[in-house]
Amino acid sequence: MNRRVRLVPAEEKDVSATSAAESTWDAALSSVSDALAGQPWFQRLPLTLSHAVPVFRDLRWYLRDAEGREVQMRMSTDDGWQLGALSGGHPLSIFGEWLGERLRPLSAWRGASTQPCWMEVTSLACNLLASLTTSALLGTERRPPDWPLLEGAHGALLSRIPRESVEKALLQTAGVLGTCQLAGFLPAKAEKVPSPAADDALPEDPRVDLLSSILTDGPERLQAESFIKIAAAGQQSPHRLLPRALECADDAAWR
Amino acid sequence: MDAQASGLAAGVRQLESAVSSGEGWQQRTLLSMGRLQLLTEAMQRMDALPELLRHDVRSSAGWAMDKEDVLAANDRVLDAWHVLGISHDENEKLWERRVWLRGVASGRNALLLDFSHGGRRFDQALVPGTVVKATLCFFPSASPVAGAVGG
Repeated sequence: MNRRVRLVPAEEKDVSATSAAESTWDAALSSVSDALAGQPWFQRLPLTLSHAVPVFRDLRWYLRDAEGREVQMRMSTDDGWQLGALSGGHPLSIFGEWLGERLRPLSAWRGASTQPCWMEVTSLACNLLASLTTSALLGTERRPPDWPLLEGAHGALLSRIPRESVEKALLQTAGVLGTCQLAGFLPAKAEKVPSPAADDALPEDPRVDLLSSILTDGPERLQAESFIKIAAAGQQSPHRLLPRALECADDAAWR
Repeated sequence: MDAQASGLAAGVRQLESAVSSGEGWQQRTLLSMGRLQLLTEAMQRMDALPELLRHDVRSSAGWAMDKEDVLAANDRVLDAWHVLGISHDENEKLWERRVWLRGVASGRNALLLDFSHGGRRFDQALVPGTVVKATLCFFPSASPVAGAVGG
């Protein structure tokens, strides 16, 4: 089946995809009940929960609603930590597949944003260049390329690539897509940057070589003692030794 | 297991995972077996079922829907569809892609189901956060919550 549909990125003025979502499990699951009443064999149903907080407990990820009810999520550990980190304990709108007693989250949305802030990892790799990469790695005979379908100027350009030699066409297509990717590159915007550190007034201890050898080869008690002495003298350890000093702290913490 | 009744086959595989699902496995296994039982019984008395439910039984068992049946149901919706989420699953080298949509004007949920053998190659790069303008042809179903395909 070859359907061609037009893809339009959602704009800020558009209604967000999750605006109609319920904010409690009770309300969200009532549509599941209705669907099962109509036919009892659904394996999965779409479900969106707004104002939901991912919670990690007993080595599992749960999704907590505004009323404090929780449902376990079916997701990989990596996906779980990424979603948890993005939420930071704040509510998100989560879309996923309802599996009967658990939710497999597929995308997460912040506030009224029209763009998801998180997706299940497997869907991230689905870009145009990625689908050609598999053919390039396995060879075009074993894995015929999945030619991208694009509209507009890009599509017109790609359609002019002759397909007589599949290998050559793959490289040319990758060249066009790659150039577009480079031309469309946008640096990510940091949302929150730490403020600059205050000026450091303490003078550095000048005995860099001595301290360096203590931190590298000295026993732990001597290392600790030297930091105490530096602090007592109203000084700080030389900046150059900071990485090594942090390593010592790390070693000590693990012991 | 009949390779054509992929829905039944999936139900039996689910039994397998229910058995090894840890505490409470007996109840989960029985639940899955009960649903399979309802499905096989419904299949034996197809003629007695209401038409829409008959389609549900067939598609739950895993038989492909006849194109004529879909067109005859004539449940077409023209809308701008939000791409809410996409899931990929692999089973014995057969990749299944589910694209979940929600109509901006209609508020209806829709599912675009695609299969690809041997690798995850799908003809459309649909991405959550985009809007697709399309007419979707819904499968006939007693609960057409999901289960639709573009046309």
